[in-house]
Amino acid sequence: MTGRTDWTRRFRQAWRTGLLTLLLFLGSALVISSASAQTYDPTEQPQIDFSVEANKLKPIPASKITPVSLKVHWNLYKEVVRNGKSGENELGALRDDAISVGQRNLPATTFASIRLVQDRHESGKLPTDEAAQSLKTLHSLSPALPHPKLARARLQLTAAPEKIGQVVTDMRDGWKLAFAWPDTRVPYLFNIVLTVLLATVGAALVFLLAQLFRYFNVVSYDFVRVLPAGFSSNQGVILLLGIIIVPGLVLQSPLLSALILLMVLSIAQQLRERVVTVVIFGILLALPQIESNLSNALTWSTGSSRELMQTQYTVCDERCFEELEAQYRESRDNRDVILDYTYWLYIYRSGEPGKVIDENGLKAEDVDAWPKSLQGYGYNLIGASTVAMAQPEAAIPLLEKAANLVGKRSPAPNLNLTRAHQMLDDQDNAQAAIDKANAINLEETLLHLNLQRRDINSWLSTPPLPSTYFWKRHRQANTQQVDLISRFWPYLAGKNVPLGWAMYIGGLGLLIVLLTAPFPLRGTISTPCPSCGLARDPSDGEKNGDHHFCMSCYRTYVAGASMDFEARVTTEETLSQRRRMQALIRRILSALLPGGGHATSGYGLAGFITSICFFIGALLLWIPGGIWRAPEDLIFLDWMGFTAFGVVFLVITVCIGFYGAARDIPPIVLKVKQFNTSAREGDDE
Amino acid sequence: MSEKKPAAKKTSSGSSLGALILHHSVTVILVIAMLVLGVWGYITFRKGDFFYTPEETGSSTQRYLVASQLQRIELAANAYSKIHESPPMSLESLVEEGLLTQKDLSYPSPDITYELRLDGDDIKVVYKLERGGAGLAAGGDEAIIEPAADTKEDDGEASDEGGEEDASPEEDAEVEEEKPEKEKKK
Repeated sequence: MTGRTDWTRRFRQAWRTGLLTLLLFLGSALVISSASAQTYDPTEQPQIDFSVEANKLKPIPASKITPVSLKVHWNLYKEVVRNGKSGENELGALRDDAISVGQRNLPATTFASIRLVQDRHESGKLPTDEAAQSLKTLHSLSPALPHPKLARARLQLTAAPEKIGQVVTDMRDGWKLAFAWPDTRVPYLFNIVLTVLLATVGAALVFLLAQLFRYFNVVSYDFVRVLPAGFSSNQGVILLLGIIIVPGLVLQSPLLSALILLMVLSIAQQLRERVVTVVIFGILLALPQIESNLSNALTWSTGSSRELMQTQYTVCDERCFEELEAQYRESRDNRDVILDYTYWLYIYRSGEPGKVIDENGLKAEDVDAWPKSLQGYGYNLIGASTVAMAQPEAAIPLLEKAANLVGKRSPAPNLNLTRAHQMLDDQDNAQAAIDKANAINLEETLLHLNLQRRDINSWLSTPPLPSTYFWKRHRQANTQQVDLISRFWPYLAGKNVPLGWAMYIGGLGLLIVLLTAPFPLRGTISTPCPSCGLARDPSDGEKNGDHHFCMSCYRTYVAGASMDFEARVTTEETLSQRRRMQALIRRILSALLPGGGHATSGYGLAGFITSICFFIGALLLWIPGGIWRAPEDLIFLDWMGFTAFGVVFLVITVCIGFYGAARDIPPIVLKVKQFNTSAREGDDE
Repeated sequence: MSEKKPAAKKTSSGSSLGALILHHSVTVILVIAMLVLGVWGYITFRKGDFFYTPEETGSSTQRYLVASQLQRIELAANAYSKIHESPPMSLESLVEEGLLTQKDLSYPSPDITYELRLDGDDIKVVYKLERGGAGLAAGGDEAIIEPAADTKEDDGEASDEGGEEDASPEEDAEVEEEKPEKEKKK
């Protein structure tokens, strides 16, 4: 059994090396990204214009930008990119115009631009640096979308791999944005959860198979032990099989029999294997809730909350406003804060701040009734509208209140305070407000102060609500239930075992696992013999000096040399055959289903994790973008690079599987009940 | 099983007899139980399969995936219009432009395809159920099979019906998405 020690040592060494490599990679990525992170530079601060022209106390006009102007900038940008330049200035002008008309993210333009840059770069007509610069500027056109950052990371990874620092930074920023923007976060999380769930189902089946090989004879042996005298071994096994098979047969449910089998096997499991069983039954228990959460996610793309988010964050045309207004009128009796804010924000952005604060508009008393986390945005909108109507004195208290309530989530109230003080030619307070805004978000403040136009959307700041509020609203409002799990459940569980039973079956399984946990701890249950795989009776310790082998193996291999041939229970040939068979099962399982060999050898948790990683890798490669393609994922199916993770997972787990198949995974040596305290601890070395 | 039987206890001749009776009784009971189970199994599964296959019905999951895909195609068509200053003539143009992949045109299943309809500047994206495809009804239990037998002849009209049949007014928008002039100033 020295092979076990060698293998374990090598496995640990390889594990440590892998861990060290991973830590080094993460460390270097952190260093690179922090080195290139944005730092505060006071010289970058634009000066506030306190000229007479800027401080005129008069209403701030609406935007004079027309759709033609946006089109002109876009066409200029295309022309410049086609001539091999980044089009940075043209994109900047387009962005300023878009902000002026209240459009902060332009998804269609963004994807058109990404495709244009990609196409010109691939055909060699746009240098890599110019392409990267173009994509960098594109981020400021649609700051909520992760795609410009991710596209730049992809571009530089393939065309300029020496700029790995920038690639890592862009990838990191892209990931952050992708998991902040609901239109990508919700589908990505949905796909991740579903992939992990499917992988867990696959790994659970592998685990069950492995546990069947490892523990069925042990459970059968102990089952016969507890039956009254008169029951033979064969009768005991038949009874046990009946307990497992008959309920599934009667209810036409293969899953039910499989779960009963797992419950039965869990009685003999060691602690690390019980952890896996708890996970499996825990997931089963949570299955209805998981389906409910997945339903919430899947209905996001067609829900009204997404429409409101799109209205605030992207573009809202006349048709969109008609729908918004109809919704607003309908919900006057049922207060819907997010809808109200969206409506008044649209009114403001469309150049009618006077309407926001007139007698039929949004009132401070209305905002007082809003949830506290949203009140700041309401006061800011009223405050900005008041400033726009040239009433800075009235606006300042509202904006100060808004600044306190919004806190560090947005610099907008402080930016508006700057403008209000600027109107009153109060330079000190204006500077103080801008300093506060700088401290909250330097990038946004710089962009805002650099906008040259003096219209309500450029001069003042009225941000959309944080995207998390739309998701919360959707979860509260959603009543649609999607048949995601319940549709496939009958294939496994049959028609007589509905999904609702999953909770009870999972709960029963957990109860059995927890109640029988003392058995292996106290040594009152048999253990699988590390040599032949058959059951080792707990009382064998009395006769073999607490050795972990069963009596057959002990008498044949350990004490065999000192005993007469007739005294041996089983021939060496028979036991060798059993040992070879055990090894063959482990090797085959390892080769075919990575992790299966480990679970058969007693490394249940390691085997289960290996199997999950194997199935995750296979699923990520099979369906690169996941089952649900995000509504804003054009050009590539896999923007986040999940396929790369799939390759890594698959390669590592297949290597583990083949290594286990080639070298074998000797069974774990379990602690057995001690009868002879003076005897040496069981060790096969 | 281990060669070693559970430890035998020294019992009196009376208890040995009891054990013998129990052993044979259990054997008889087991044989009878197996026979009953066998006959029951034969009668039950003679005509049907043990493994249950639910009737192929429309999936509400599929419905939402289609709705999301319609939004995706709509966005791609908008991006195409930005690049070329004119709307795409067909969905194949979006694939050729690299905005979508060929697989996107029959997603989430090969039974479902999409079609672009131009009406002046307005672009409509509709889905079609191919022959044999299941309807996209909301609510798995009440979903209705839509064989879409006449989809070829109707050239997409049946698809609209299939989608609208069970849809709430809000969901109608998912079935036939009209392309709003995105990024167009109010």
